[in-house]
Amino acid sequence: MSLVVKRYIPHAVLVATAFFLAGDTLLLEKTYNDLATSGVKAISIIGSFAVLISITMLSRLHVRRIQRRRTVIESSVLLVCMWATMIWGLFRFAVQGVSPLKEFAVQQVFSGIVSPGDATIYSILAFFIAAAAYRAFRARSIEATILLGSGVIVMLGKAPIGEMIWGYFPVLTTWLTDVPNTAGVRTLILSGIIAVTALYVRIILGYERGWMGRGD
Amino acid sequence: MDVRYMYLLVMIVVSIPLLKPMGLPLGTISVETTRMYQYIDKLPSRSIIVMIADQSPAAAAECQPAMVANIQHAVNKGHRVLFYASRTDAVPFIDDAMKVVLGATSDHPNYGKLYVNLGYIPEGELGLKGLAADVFFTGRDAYGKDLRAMEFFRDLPKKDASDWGLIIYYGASSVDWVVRQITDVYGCKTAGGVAAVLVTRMYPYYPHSIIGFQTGLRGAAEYEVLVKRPGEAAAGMDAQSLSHLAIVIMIIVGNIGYYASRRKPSGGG
Repeated sequence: MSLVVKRYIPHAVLVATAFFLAGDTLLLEKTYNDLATSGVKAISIIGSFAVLISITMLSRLHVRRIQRRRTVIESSVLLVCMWATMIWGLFRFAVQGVSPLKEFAVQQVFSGIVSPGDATIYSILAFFIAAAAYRAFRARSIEATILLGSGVIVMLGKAPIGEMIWGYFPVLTTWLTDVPNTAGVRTLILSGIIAVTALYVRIILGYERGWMGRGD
Repeated sequence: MDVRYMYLLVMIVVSIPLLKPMGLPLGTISVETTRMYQYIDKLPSRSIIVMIADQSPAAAAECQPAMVANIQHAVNKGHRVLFYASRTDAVPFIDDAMKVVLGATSDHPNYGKLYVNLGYIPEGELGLKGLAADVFFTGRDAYGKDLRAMEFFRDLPKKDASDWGLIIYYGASSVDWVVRQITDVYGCKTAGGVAAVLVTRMYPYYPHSIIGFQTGLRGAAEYEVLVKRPGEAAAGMDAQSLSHLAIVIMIIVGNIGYYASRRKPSGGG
């Protein structure tokens, strides 16, 4: 494929789309704004098809693992079995008009397997944090001591028991979150915005080409 | 000390209050939760409250009780609620919350009049931008019903986000995109029922863009108290208190042990 198709046309589409949608934020002209909203709808639909691509690639990877019987395949088998849920849900919606939200099998898989599994993985963090806090959280320097002190104050200030132990824990917690925390997070947000803006300018000017894939 | 003893301690400290509640008092209700409650309380009747479900099953433990309490408040005040999910695994949580408060979802008599569930809108910030520009962005709701036929949308003057009274975000990722697309452009204020890890990112926008928020499980418990509907969050407060205390004690004991071992004379003669 020529360089025009692989590089210049995608770049032109990106620049046109970026300026078109940026103009929607700045201009108050009904026809233009309606066109931009239609454009946003189109992008949402394209994004939904991207989910289809990711499902296909993930499934292909795991089917290959099952075929080659590489290492642990139980999770691959489970993933492929999930196809059955997806196909059943699609069948019930497309042919019989039953929304996935009302389909019993789909809801049971989510509420019985996916939701508790995800919550369990997150809950395990509590044990890791407790063990890590005991073993690694040491007041070795002034900065570490300040961090340790702030962490203890906020943990006790946010839990009801903190106010029972000492009435000023919530007051100190409020000061910590309102003053130093806000200052620090504002700095992070601002620097993030500047970095992202610089990145987008580089993409629009064509200096960043990683998103196009290998063009050679 | 063997790390398994710490795991056992945390397990005991969390499970005993859940099995046998101790009834520890909740304490002073935070200013952020109170401001959010008062804002919703003062909205004119039939104001539209948009609720964005962005909680994964992992964050749902903190965000779901907040969502339930907020829906209860909206029901008590006669407000309209528009739900949508910005991630696929948050879609069932909207239905769950509606069933807990209203007892039904699309078959509720006021569905389509006071409550509408748009389901999943892809592309996160872009999807919200589209919804904010045109409230009929999805065309149909999560159950396939035509939005234009619903009484919910009939009296809206502009059919965009400027008609909304408040937008509430539930999740653990970030709230910046909601403020960027809604509050800054249309003036509709933002609130949150967020996981505790996200709260530090809310403060730069508070109180002007984000009028108030519920901080994790504690904030949800406070809101439950305010709407007089104690639920899962209030029930979890004892466990949270004891687990926080246990971790703080372990940190202090660890540091005492560390400094004690540093002072021991090293070796013998």
